[in-house]
Amino acid sequence: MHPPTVSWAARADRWGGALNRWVERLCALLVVVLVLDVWLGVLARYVLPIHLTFTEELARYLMIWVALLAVSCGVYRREHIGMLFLFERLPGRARRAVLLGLDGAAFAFFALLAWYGIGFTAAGAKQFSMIFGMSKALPFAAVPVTAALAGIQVVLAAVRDQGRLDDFGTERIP
Amino acid sequence: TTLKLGHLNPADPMQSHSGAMAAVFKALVESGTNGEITVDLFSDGQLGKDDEVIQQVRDGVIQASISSAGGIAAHYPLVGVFDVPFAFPNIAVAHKVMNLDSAFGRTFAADVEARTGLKVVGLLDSGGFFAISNSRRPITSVADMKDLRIRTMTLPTHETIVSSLGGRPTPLPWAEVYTALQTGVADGQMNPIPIIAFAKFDEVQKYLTITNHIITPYVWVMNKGFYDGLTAEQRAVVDYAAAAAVDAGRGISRIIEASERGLPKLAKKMEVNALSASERAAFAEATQPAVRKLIVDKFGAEGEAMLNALMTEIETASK
Amino acid sequence: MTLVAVTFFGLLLLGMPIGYVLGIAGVVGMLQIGGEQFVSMAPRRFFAGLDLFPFLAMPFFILAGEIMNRSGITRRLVEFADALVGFLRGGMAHSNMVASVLFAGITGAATADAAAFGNTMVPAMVKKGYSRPFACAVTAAGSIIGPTIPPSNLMVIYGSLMGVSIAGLFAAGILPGLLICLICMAVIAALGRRLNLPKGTERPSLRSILVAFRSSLVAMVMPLIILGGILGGIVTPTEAASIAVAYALVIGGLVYRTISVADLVEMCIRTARVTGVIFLIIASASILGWWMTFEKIPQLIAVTFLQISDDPAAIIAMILALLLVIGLFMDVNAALIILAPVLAPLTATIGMDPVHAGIMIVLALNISLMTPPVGACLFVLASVTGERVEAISRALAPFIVAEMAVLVLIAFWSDLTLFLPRLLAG
Ligand code: NA
Ligand code: NA
Repeated sequence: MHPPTVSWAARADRWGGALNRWVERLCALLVVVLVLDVWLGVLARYVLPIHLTFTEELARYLMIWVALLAVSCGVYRREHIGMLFLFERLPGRARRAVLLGLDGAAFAFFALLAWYGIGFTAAGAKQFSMIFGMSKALPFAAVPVTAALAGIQVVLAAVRDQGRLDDFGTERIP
Repeated sequence: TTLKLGHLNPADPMQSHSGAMAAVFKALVESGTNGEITVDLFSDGQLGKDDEVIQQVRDGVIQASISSAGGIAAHYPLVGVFDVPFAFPNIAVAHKVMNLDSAFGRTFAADVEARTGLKVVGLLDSGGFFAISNSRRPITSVADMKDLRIRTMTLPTHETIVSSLGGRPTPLPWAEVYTALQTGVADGQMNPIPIIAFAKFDEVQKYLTITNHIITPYVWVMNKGFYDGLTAEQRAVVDYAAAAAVDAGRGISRIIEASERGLPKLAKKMEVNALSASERAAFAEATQPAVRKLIVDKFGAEGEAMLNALMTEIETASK
Repeated sequence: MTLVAVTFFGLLLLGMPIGYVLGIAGVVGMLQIGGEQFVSMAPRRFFAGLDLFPFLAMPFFILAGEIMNRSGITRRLVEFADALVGFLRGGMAHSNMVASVLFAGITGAATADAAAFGNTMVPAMVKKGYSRPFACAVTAAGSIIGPTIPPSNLMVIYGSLMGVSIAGLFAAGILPGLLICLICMAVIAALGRRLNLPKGTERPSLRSILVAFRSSLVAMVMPLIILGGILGGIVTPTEAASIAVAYALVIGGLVYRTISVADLVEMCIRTARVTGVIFLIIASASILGWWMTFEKIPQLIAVTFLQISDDPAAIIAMILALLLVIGLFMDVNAALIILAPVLAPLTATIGMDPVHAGIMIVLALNISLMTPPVGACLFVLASVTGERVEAISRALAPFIVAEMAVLVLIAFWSDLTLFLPRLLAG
């Protein structure tokens, strides 16, 4: 796809890219920790002389954090899967309008998740996981934090793609 | 008004205690209020994990839930005091103590209400005492527990019970337990008889030991705003319907244990043994101090007070 | 209900990503039920939908696949397979199917199979000249062999939910699983000429087979180690996926010395991104799924459906249709928990054996994993390979038809499923 050709769109593209790079690095780190955690759980069962009983729960929470953080990467790269057969048959102008509408709805969805996710996390602060009695606010916070990130990337991607002045979207959205 | 009630087990009232409770409650409430209250049932944990469903009750999304100790623990960790091993001498005493009619039951319900805003309308056992199954050897003494990998829930109290007996607690998610027992990732597991039968562990385990080491509660909670919003007559109906339903639940649990769906079924495929009185004492000696210490460490003075209240009640009920 | 349906299909047709569509339709449904407390359910469901340990198999197999591809493990395995069957038309597609059967002993979930093969076999097949949609279709069709041959997560759920012997279900799944493999291979053979599937020029010599065998030997130990780890009782099927990662790392990093730390970072990032795409769909589906449960929609549809006729054949046909339709919109685990208690008693009234009924229900739901608009295996493959859902679906059509035929055969011919359980029970 062609690069954005107006300056504000180019700026949105840069910001989105910078944010995304940091999120991706964090994801890589968490994947490594996740793998180590599951190995540790298996080793603790046979080799290590200690009983580790938190590895399974920790693995679930790490997995959720990684996957939800990566949702925003998918938003930035427009990797989330949709059915495009109709979209691609629309004329360029209509396509641009539809995309704006869909981005608006997506933003509303992530904003709603983020907003109500705060209450969800606050309620989690009063619940306890079995990992050293850690409060569930830490895993639950994955929802509002990552939804907010995704919401930001939706806006940046929308600005970026609306700013492309060529015959909009003749290629598949990458 | 509609009262939506969620629970974790099959809907068939003959198959599970919560199924029976839900059915009895629905029939009594709908007839007792002449249809003013409709009871809408969600069985099999359809609405989500237990702790999540309790949150739904707190939020008023649904009105009531018959919940396991594991689910309650996320909202009310003190429920862990029930995990003191060998605290209950027999099932009849458990009936008297895990009961809203007992002094302890009333204290417990009041404390749950104070801390979570949930109205407790029923308190009973989860389906009988825990037994230990395994694929290695019959367990007749504490020594037989040595190095057995026993699957437990991710509960520190349960893990401590296994480790203080010399076994290796192996926490695994419920969905993987059957396969893990089949392949030998875990040697054994502990659960009440009806759950062992329900989960078909007799297909993958050889030995069953009636240890009767713990008995965990089921707590039936209701949204307090909903309960308080009922008329006095409706509240009276809900109260007696819940009490009668709990009786039915206890009854069906004992029937399941004793019938072709419980111990007799398991005994067809598994070698069953029970602990002798002296071995029971040895098991208690090995496990009780560690778990009591854990509860006091974890819950402090509150935990100790609740624990003492429970032990006093058990002593009274045992006389 | 109408509003939710209109929202769902409207947004889907306009091209909105399915992960957003499911969530938005679910939120619309919750808004329709009532107050703010229902909308505040959305983040709760979003989280709870992912809070399952067995899901870990997916990212781990994706990561293992990344490492295998980058380190040359995949290439060597494929060269060996190619030396053996490459001279046949569609040989690689056939070996994909056979490998699915072997992999079925490792995994209990079709999505794990799709993740592992999508990231290894599909690129390898594309390199050998297969079209990517076709390679994805073969992989998707083979992925449901995973939960048909034991172990199988769905069968464990069904067995304990409905009081049916899990060991019996496991045994009963073996023949249907093999039959699916055979019929898919028949489809590949039948399509071979029309699709002009690649075909090697010469028959392999014993020498070339031996050379390929030696070069892939270390790589071939991988499935053995994983399978041994499970059958030997060392790890659970989910943990086995992490063993795959470990082995791939050791071989790629130490034996072949083909991967660097920088490569690893990039592979972890790709794993996270692919997982993010898939898990958004799962998380959002559990918002819509909760709304469907709360409104008792599957039961409503079931009751309406099943009033139509009481002829046994018609009832079986309607159960199958119902499962396939509900499976279009709902996660299979949720669908199973809600529908099994409704459907199983019905199968009992027409005299079906409980194990037989269980296999039929589980297989129907598995097939629904491959059907658009909501088919988890479809999305996993689309996400892992970058291929479009529409293209995969089109290539998949003949396989789905064939597997539906197997499903019907299984439904009406009870001996096929019950032969092995009876044999094992003596
Ligand atoms: Na399998
Ligand atoms: Na589907």
